[in-house]
Amino acid sequence: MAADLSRLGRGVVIRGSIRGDGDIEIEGRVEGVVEVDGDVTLADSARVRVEEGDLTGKRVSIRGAVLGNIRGSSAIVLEEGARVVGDLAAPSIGIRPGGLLRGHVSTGDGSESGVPTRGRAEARRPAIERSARVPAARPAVKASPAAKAMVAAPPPRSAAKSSARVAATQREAEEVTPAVDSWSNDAVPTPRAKGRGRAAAPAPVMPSLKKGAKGQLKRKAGR
Amino acid sequence: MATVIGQGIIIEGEVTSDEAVVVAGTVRGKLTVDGPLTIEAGGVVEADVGATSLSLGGTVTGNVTASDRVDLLAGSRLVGDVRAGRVTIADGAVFKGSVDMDV
Repeated sequence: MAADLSRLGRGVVIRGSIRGDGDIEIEGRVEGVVEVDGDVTLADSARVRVEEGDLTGKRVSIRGAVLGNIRGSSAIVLEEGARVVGDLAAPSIGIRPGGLLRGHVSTGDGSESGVPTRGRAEARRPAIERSARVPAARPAVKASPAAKAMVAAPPPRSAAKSSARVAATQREAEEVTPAVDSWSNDAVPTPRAKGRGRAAAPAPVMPSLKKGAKGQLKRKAGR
Repeated sequence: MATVIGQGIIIEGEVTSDEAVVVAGTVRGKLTVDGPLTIEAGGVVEADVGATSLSLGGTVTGNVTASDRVDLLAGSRLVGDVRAGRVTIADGAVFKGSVDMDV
């Protein structure tokens, strides 16, 4: 057995941190920290909830569900079936058809684009998100009916479908532990901003936001 | 194929498994396995351990409970109490603690 290959089977649950050298393959559940120097592979049965820092590896390949930010020192690949709510940062990032993501993507080498430490990511985030978020968050904009219509228009069908599946990921991730509210306020708003960007697209098919969800969002954005 | 915690890996926290586990790395916290547990030479467990059976070649600091058996192999090191149906201690194993077998 290769000493530097670790494998956590389907029936394994870890609450705490996994650190160190060597490649790791996760098929079970992890709540906490995953920071290894080697490659990280998440099978489709894997459920990882990152509670501190980022899920970190060299080449991070994902088919399962992840709640939290992911950082790859070499690459991140979301394979078919991947469901990720969180930001991705790596020199090279691939999302294959069928891989679902709700979060920021930042490619390029760490030095320049700032493969973010969490702190930096958050420092950076407002600049990007504020522009997108403001229309929903500020009552002033609601005064303009046109703007309101833009905001209200749901994303096109495919996006709505994805967001439903991503929402399913959140539920899956929440199964691991009862909901902790903290992640939602940075992870959730992003794709909505994207959806809004495409809001000019055709007929509303399915509302992607529950009534009142926006208000909730607004309150979260406020703090 | 069993669950393997490889040589370079350090897990701190609570590990539970419903299948066989092999530890070649380090586990601190709590380790509960519903199946056979193997701690290889070089493996370090600083935790209370529960398993169906334990085959110890490495180091354990903590109490061990096994529903079936515990085997301390030559070169292993255990500091803690053992509670198991059957216990074997090989010549060359280092053990400090008490043994509680169903007598």
